[in-house]
Amino acid sequence: MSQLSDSELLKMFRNPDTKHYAFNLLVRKYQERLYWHIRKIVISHDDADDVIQNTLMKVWGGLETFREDSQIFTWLYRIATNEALTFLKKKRTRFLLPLGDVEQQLMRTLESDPFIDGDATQLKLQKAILQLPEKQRLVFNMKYFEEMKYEEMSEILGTSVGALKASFHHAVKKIEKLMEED
Amino acid sequence: MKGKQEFERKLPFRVPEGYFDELPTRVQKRIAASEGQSQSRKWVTLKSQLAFAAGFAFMALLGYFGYYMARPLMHNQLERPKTDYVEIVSRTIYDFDDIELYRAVENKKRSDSIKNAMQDMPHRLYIRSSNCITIIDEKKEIKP
Repeated sequence: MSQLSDSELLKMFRNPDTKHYAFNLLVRKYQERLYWHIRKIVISHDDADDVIQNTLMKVWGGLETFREDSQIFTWLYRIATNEALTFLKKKRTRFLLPLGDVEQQLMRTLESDPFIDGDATQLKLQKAILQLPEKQRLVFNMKYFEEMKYEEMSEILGTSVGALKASFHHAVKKIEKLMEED
Repeated sequence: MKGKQEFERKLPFRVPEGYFDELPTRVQKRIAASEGQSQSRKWVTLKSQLAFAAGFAFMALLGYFGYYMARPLMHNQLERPKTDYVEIVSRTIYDFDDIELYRAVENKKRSDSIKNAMQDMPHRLYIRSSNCITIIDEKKEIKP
């Protein structure tokens, strides 16, 4: 049943008798992609768990009125990205932290989170990514790890393809420089 | 990062065992809880609206009875102007001249209308009733 298309799932979701079942299938279909996307932004597993649950709650609330102008997948990604960025913003406000300090905190999470266990190079790459500006970080993660098309990224982030290409280019240059250091 | 060192595109992150198996169930539980909350929130809203309506009805009832209890008193107050008229007459009656009254009545008889009678003696004050005019006093002497 997990092979059902998005439009079939939507049709089932709009039927009150199969609403919960359809949502369950939708979550199972997209949960991993959404989780890893969020995890790359917030780093900590506990935070990612909070954010994905909030994301899915929002999806539950908004799926009824979802217009099929865009793919469900890009719509889900947009909600997840906004939730993750809002989460970081709230963290910043809650602890009255300046911009750079949240990134410092995320760096510390990379070293202390019990659910992080990559090799030295992987950790170094993650630390380099954390030093990028927010938008470049998003673009780099989506392109490099998820190999997402620029057109899809454009729909999710609301930025032109040209600007995304430029962001990715700048991000790669900075990362290469940072990886060559030490 | 073509032409340079290509890092393994693997994330250093992992999740607790069985995390993705349990996540849909956890989300469904949260949805059920939030739907229960929204039901109870609706009930709380309804209860507060009912309480407000009951309070409003009570105040309206209180106002209604209050109005009817106070009504006789207001009725008495409305009759006061009559008393005031009597007062004016009694206050000015001491220098009331019977001859003047007689003349006024005579004058009324000669006049075709009350208006004409009043025009004849503009310095006087009159009480008009259905069939006669009564002089009370000269205007300048009336002091409340």
